[in-house]
Amino acid sequence: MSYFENPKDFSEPQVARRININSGLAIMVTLALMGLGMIFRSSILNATVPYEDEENGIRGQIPLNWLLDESQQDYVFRAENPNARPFKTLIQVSLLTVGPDANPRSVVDLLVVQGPNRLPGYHVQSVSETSLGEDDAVEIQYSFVQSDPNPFLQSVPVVVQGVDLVVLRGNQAVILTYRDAAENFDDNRPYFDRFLQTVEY
Amino acid sequence: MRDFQLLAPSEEGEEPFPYRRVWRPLTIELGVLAAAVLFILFTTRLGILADTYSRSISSGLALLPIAAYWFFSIRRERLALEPRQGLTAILFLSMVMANGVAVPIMSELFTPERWLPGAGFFNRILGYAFTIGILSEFIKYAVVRYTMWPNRFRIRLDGIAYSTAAALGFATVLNMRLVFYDELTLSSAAVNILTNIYIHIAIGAVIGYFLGEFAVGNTSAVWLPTGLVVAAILSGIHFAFRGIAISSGLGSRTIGGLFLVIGISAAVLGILSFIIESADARMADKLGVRRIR
Repeated sequence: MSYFENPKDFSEPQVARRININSGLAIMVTLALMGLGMIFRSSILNATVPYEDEENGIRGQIPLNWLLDESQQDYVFRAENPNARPFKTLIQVSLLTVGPDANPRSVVDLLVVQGPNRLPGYHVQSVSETSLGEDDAVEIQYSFVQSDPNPFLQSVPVVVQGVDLVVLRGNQAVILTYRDAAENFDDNRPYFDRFLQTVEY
Repeated sequence: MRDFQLLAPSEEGEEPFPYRRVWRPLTIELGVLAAAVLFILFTTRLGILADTYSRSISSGLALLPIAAYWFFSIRRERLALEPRQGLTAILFLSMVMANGVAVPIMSELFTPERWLPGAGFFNRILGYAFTIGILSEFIKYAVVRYTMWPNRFRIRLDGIAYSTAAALGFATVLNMRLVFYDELTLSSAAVNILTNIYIHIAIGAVIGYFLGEFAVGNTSAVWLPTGLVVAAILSGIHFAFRGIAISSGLGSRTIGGLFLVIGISAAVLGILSFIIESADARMADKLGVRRIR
């Protein structure tokens, strides 16, 4: 027998059986590992950490590994996904002192008026009545344009889509905000929905 | 008077190796790409070439490995006594599978950019291995397994030869998408193109080794699944270390990723070469035949 002839006889029943077992197992292992990968992905994407601010009475679960900022006066906290591109996905809670006759709709009207001063290219897309738990709420959807403030960075402005959900708590309006690049808005909306399911105010 | 010429007795020459060599052309092809990438890195660093997005140069660089493969492997294959059939078919089939199956699943289902960059080191290894790692390697495996295997497998190195074609097709699709959709600067595109080619060929060679050994040697019933798992884990390890290699404080150093992928590829291919050489030597001893090298 020559060295260059493959000595294996693939028509032998034992060899053929081994080939079938190997081939079948290869497919099964691949599918099983990809299934594990999807479970793993889901567990990482849905992982949260508790957030609690006793002073302002806000509590909820925010996504794990997001950057938390509590340093500014105009919001209670802001959580951002540092890996998101081209806009860092944002969940924010802010409080606004309101009069005794205020309702969520009047707060939304105020936000609509102030919007163009706060956010360039501000454009309201919809305002709708909704609820958060047992409380009445008003949701406003809008878009604006985010430009990098650093003039040395050559970047294209990003169209950002946002949601402000307004609920009243005594003489305060709680404004729950979610913002993301328009292209990722729907994909990342579940982060905000999960936060809304756990938020206490 | 008649002249008589003495005929020289024919010398018993060395029997020629009937197959095209695999390791040497592969090394040359990888070297050609490395030289082109280094040229781009130096010229952009020196300001000779503008380090901006250039679709034509980046496309040329993305297609260079296929051109080198055609010149050093496919063309030479025709000169071999026992040429390998179907290498070009494997290359194109792998491109079709990569573009039609792997890329949509990666970008629509796995979306690794959404959850893995921020994950811990071991989570990154498992995350990449169990998603894009296993998918990429299974596609390369399936392209070779269900076309050329086992009828075209005569020696162990056939596994490396066919898997190289499959890996090259797969990586070229990723590189062309990188050029047309990501619009990277020239230096960044060059580094990413080299990374894709090197790592897919190196890890694809692991699949090739397992297929080659399965065709020629005596293997267990879980040999191929083991090969897929090993290849997927290697892929995960590369992605996880790459995150460390290219991060440098708040900035990034792409050169770190370049060294990493060259190191991993050299190690994997070197180890496979040694294992195949040893297995061939053992088999030749066992069968009592002389090896032609």
